[in-house]
Amino acid sequence: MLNLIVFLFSVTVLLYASLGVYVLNKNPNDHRNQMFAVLMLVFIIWSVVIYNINLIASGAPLTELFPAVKIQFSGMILALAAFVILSFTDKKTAIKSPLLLMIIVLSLYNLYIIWTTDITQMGVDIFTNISGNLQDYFLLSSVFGIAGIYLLLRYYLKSKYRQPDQAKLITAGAIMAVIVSVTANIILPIFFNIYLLGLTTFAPAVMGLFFAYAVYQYGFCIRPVHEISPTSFCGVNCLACVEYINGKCRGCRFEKDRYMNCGIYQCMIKKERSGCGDCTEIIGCKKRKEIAWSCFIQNPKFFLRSGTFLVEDNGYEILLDSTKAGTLGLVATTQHPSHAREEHDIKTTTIVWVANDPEGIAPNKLGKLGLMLANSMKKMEGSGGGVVLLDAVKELIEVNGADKVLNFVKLLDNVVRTHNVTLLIAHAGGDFEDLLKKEINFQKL
Amino acid sequence: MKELEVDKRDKSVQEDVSLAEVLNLLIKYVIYKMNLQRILFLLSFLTFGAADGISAAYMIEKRGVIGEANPLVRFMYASRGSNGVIEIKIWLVLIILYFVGNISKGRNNYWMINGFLFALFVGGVMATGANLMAARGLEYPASSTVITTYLFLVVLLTMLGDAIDNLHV
Repeated sequence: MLNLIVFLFSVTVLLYASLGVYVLNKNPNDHRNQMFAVLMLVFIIWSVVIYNINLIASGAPLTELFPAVKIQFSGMILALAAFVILSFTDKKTAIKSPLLLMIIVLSLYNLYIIWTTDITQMGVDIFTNISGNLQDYFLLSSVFGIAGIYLLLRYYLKSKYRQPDQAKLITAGAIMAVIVSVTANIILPIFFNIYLLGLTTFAPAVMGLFFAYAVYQYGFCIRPVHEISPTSFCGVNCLACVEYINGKCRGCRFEKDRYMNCGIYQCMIKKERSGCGDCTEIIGCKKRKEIAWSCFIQNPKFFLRSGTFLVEDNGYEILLDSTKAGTLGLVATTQHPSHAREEHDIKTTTIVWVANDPEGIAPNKLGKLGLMLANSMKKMEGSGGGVVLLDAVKELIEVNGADKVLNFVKLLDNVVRTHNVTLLIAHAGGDFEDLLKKEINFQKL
Repeated sequence: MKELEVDKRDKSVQEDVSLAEVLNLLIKYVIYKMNLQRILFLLSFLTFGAADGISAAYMIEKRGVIGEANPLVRFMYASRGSNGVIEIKIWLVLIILYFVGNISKGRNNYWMINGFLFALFVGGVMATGANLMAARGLEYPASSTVITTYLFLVVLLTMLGDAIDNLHV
């Protein structure tokens, strides 16, 4: 039983530490990610509390208890220290901090004490005698557990990473964890006087396991961002402005008199950003909508309506024309993102790599690709529309067959029409075009 | 002759600046640099780390190791005595404060962090109080009550702070 408790404890702490570090490294500036990481830290401490309660109340023989004590103490110290060290992307600056160095030194000292002290001399009383009522500990464990699960769920469901199928998995995990916690900590001890110690530790692990599986299965939703303009901070395309064309203005990025009075510039300085394009709050930013578009009206070269369009080599030109005028864009291509950016001069627009690579989405996972594109389109609608360029149809057909890809495009077409988005399909090929004609209404650009 | 004059002037300048003035300037500098969040950081460290650690060590010495609920603290006491107890408590609070301090830099989470730190401060005060009451043989609040109140405050104040921060976005 004790081995099971030690195993579950290690898995739980490792899960929370990995999830916290992973999410924070994904985008350390995001408010929700910071909140999530704090929650993971609280969960680690919570797991330690639950483990301690189990350990104190287990009454296991000394030979089992002492190695477990050493493993638990070491695990806790390593997990907390690693969590703090790994949580920061700028590790070079972090490592120079005297406070961090003090934490590392104290952690090493604690580990030294744990592994050099002969705990068999201390007597089992130190670990097993419990002060207070055992039921109180179980009740406390349950209250803490349910509060933690509620917080995790609440912040995840408000997160921009939320996806419907992923949310179902996480909600299911939360419900399971609450049931386990209530059963093991409240119902069994209070009403039946049964203390299932292994089960109390299992409650937080249930939530962690479901969450980890959900992240592994669906990943995090990729968020479309605005293209950074080389001449403005907010992203407006100065090439569409008469003053810029006539040489009266070099773009507000280079005109101090203009940008010093701009609310967007002030906001950007405050947030330490290079422009709105690399700000995490761009989608819902009211300030940008109010200020940026009052400067001048831009006229893009291509006027795109919502719907599906077939394009050839001019797909990137059409996309950039729209994104530089402020529309959100997204590219799904088989070309490596860095090559695509270099070749087509794309600076910040999100590129999804369709490839058999850990960083990309495999061509045979049409469901995952479709879900990601559909979720991005929904977000684009909230920002006033957008353009999605799908430059991977040939490869998708090669891997999945034309019928599956046809269904995939039909699904995307439905989403496009519902969410006021333009879908550009590049290099579809003659045969596939004929198939498409029968199924959906599209136009050629 | 000129050199001598210079030396005299230097000496008179040194005599003019008294220790009281240096301390006064130092206090002014600290007050200038202080804000609510930094005060809360300091209070959290003093209560949750130092005061809780010292009072826990004092309580264990008076009542024995069974009075402490946390087995890691029991272990440290059995291994290194009172210093071990204080060291482990300070180590834990340093980790929490370092992490919280890092995520608070230049981001829109001022009140969320303040809420978390205030809960930490209140938790530290409660734990210290309970330790001292137990050491004096008085009826003290159960550790489960202290932890539950602390966790309740963490959840409540952090969420409240988060809501205030969101109002300012």
